[in-house]
Amino acid sequence: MVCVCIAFFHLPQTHAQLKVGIWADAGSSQIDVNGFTSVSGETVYSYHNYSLSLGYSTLFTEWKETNSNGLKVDIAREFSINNFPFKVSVFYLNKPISTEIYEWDLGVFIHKNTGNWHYGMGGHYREIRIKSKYSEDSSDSKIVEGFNLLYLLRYNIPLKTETWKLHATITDFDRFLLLQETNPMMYVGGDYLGFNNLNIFSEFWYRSAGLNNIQVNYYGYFFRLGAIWKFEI
Amino acid sequence: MEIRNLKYLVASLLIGLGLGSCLEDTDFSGFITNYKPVKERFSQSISWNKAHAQKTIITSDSPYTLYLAADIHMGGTANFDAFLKNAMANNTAATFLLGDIVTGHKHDYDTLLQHLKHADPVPYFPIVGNHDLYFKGWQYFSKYFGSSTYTIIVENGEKKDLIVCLDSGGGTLGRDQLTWLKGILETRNSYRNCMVFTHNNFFRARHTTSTNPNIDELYVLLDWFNDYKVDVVVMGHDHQHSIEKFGSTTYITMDALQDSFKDASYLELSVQNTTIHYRFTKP
Repeated sequence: MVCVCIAFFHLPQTHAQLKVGIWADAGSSQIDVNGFTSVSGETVYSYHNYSLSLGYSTLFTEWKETNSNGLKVDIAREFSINNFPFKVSVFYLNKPISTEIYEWDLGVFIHKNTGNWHYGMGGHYREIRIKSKYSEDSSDSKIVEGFNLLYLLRYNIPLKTETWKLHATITDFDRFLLLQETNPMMYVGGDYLGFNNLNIFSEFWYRSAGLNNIQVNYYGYFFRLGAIWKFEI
Repeated sequence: MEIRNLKYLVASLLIGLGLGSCLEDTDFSGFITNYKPVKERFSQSISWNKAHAQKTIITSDSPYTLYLAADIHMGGTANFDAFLKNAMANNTAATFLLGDIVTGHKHDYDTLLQHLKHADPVPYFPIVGNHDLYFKGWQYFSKYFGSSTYTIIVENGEKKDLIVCLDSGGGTLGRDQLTWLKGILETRNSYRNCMVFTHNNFFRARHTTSTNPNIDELYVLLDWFNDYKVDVVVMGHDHQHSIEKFGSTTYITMDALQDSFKDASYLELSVQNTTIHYRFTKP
């Protein structure tokens, strides 16, 4: 079980914040005979309207030869145009699939918060590759998906307390898993905000297959439990 | 005002009728439920396999040829009849129907059965696609063909080739079928060539609204097919052909053979020793 939390260099200016998150998943899917567990971490350094995040994930399941589940770098900036604030992030994901095969992705995502709604849309380029040392012919060593749509629609359920947050989300991606746009996932989640610098969060994800073929099958589920520490620096 | 309302009413009726006729072959209940999930279909298929002899093709031809078609979406039978006629004329070793053969309606299954009689004595091997499962279509598929997950051994002189047919009609192979597949792939070294046929295409060569298997299921399949040196994987579903080479495996997505499809074609696979050639042929 490995969690990597990388501390960024500290700029002397104010308005900087460091967030360190760690979460664990446990669940089951059609590819896991005995279920899977996963532990992931992410560090986000924010300065004024900019933020830089670095995340790493491990996955424990019998089919996978390597436990590394992905390394992700995300650079984001908040904008406000004509009193319309939104956030744009650009990310890179490197995801080992086996000792011989890996995937890399480059994408962009635009987020927006409006009242109880959080939504966003973006896209990414995907390459699944055979590592050069295992490939005799480089022309036969990659599968390319030129553009895959990313989307997220979240409804934050209004509550009378500010200690708790509840939400329901539909999306086609998680931090270290970018599904095809035709395979949506749903999850419900809650945050406990009762501590000063610490958020505790939990999520339940449900996955299906074949929805857009109008022949839906259950695919899997997982629970997530995590915490995020915030530091003003 | 009344005339305008009448126009809206007539227009709405026409649109409704138009949509209705276009969509009468779509079973929208599949958005929320599934009459026979892949787990149950696989279980039935394996039970059927155990009760019947191993499917075998015996041919002394070198090369020998297999004819494959997908997305016929019967109703129409003109392209399908041409496919069968060519298969018989060219002495093909077997024909394969890789899903979306019919609409799921019983009358289309009956039509399929009638036309397959014309192909005798060329053996045929069908696999379900998502459309074959609409309107509880699995009950007819399983009644007429028994199984949608099976292996075929091609005995070509002293050499044997392995063909693995998979049920991906529900957008996932499911845990049990994947476990079964792993066991089959572990016997790969006993065969000269290994070919995998299924309905749902793996890669998004173009943007469509239809679904591929979840990406993490594809990771598993790509890894296994690479490790076990599967020679060819043939799929349908996308209606437009594409070829991807990944390691030692060639992934072929076929055109639709549907009558109304402008670029309809079927696939000829020609196997000579360890070389497999493919060709798309118009009906």
